[in-house]
Amino acid sequence: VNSKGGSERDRRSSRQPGATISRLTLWQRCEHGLMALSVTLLILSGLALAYHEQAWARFLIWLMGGLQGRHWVHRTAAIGLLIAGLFHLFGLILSERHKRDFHEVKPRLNDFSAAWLGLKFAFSGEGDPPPYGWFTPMQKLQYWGVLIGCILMGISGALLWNPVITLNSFPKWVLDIMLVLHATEAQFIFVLFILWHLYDVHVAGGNFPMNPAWLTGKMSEELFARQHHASCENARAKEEA
Amino acid sequence: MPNHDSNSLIRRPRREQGQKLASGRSLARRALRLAPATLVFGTSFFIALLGFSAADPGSTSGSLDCTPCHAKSKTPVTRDLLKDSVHAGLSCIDCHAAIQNIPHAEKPSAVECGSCHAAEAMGWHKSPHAVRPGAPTCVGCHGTHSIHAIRPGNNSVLKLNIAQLCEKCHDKQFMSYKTSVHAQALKRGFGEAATCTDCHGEHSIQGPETAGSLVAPASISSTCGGCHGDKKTMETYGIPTDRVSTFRSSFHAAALKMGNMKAATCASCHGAHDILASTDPASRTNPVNLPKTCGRCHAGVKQGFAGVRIHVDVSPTGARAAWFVRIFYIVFISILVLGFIVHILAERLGTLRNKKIALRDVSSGKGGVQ
Repeated sequence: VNSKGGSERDRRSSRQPGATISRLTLWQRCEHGLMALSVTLLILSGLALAYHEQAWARFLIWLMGGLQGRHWVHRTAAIGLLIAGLFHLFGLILSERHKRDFHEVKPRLNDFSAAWLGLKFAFSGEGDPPPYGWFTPMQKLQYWGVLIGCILMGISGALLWNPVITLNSFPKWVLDIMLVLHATEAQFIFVLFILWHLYDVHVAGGNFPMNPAWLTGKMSEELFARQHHASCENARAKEEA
Repeated sequence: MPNHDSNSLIRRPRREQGQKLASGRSLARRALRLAPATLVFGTSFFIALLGFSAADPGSTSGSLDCTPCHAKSKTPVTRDLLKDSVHAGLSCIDCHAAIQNIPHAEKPSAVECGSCHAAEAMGWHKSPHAVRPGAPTCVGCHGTHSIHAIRPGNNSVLKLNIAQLCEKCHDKQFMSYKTSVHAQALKRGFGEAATCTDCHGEHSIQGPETAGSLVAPASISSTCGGCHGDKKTMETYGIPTDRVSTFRSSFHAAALKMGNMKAATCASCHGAHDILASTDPASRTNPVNLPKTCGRCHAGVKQGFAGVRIHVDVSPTGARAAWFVRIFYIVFISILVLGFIVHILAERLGTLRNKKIALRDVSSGKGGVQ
């Protein structure tokens, strides 16, 4: 696991033109890539079944080789997501840097005030830039959304995997709930991660056409300073002290 | 035979009139004197001709009375037989159109019902009944002269009699149907209960293996739904109205729609001819029998399956817990979408403002954003 990022993070205030800071380790990028691929396939094959009456859904099912093909795409991608989850877990256990990232992503009370200030700053144009840290409140929300979402989808998906085993062991209402949970949580994930996350990393805050961190692991210091004002200020203050 | 000569009955009136005109004194002298009478006579002759061609049974049955011969034949046709039938208003030659002269020497060709009932005949021609030797033609089900008579005993296609009619050939199916919940209900006088034709159709009847058949896997839920999706009928008998809609939202229906013809339809679980109420211990859908019924496709179903409510809809009265989950998510996702809209607005506003500041700074020579 790449753990060089920690020292780089401390040096990020020395702003040189074209200077970059390390945002994601190779491990995290692999984890993210596997998750992005799995979730894309899961959403495509899942929504295709949920909306099988629509022409676009039928086209997708046809692309995946019919209903049976869709079935295997969905289940293979589910295993892919499970592996990405294991990547995350082992990363957290093995790497100090990942542990530090996890510490940064923990929700704090001042996230709410920071998000509020961010909104106020955007709408009024007055005051200071929002005091966002290493992770913005939006990024934190997305992280925890992914985590809880994957756990919920994992549990409900496992119970739906073989309905006979589930019905032999649980009452039918459990299966009824899991079916609704799996379908609606999927829509929640679609809005939060596909629409919102893609907007954030490709459009928002000067990221257009994209924030390269998911591929190179780095982002420009200038962009970082604009998006993570507090983190930048703290580091500068530390350096000056 | 009545004392007709060998002339055609149909042409006789014209000839009789001709003979009258030719008899007596000079035509030229009488013509003027009898002009009014000729006019009256000619007009009535014309009307008589018209009347004949319209084949009004009341007026022509006298001149076209086939019963003198046919009442005595091996299969007698009498006026009594005809008068209660739905064809009571028609003349014999309307159906037996091949007959040109009376009496007729040869046996006329079969009646073409399709000349009036075109759609029904067309449907029949496409059915297996049309190609299988010995299978019924129109008269095989509807009978002949007493067709649709207002006498239940004689009307073979009266709803109560249809199953017995089909039994003549389909006795095996009839044996399983006659104890079914549908047959029992019909016997009790509940006229909406299904008989053979309600599921299989009438003239264009097709086997389940033919695509487009009413009992083919792809269409059977619509066929059952014709009654079981009809709120008014089902509520009358206290039968749930959501059987078809809950099936259609199931994976079984999705698989079926996507072309998996092995996926379960109504008949896979409930049976076809021998459908029984789920409260009946012999029913396929009785909780005791569910493991066996589901086990036909899903190996390893245990008795714990029993008591499971299959047809549940996600609603406050159906799967309530699942309904709460759905409502929670609807609210949650709505808030999320609103948040997303606010987020985009805030982000776009910020970007626009930055651009303005940058432009102002450039024009006043202060440099870029940062």
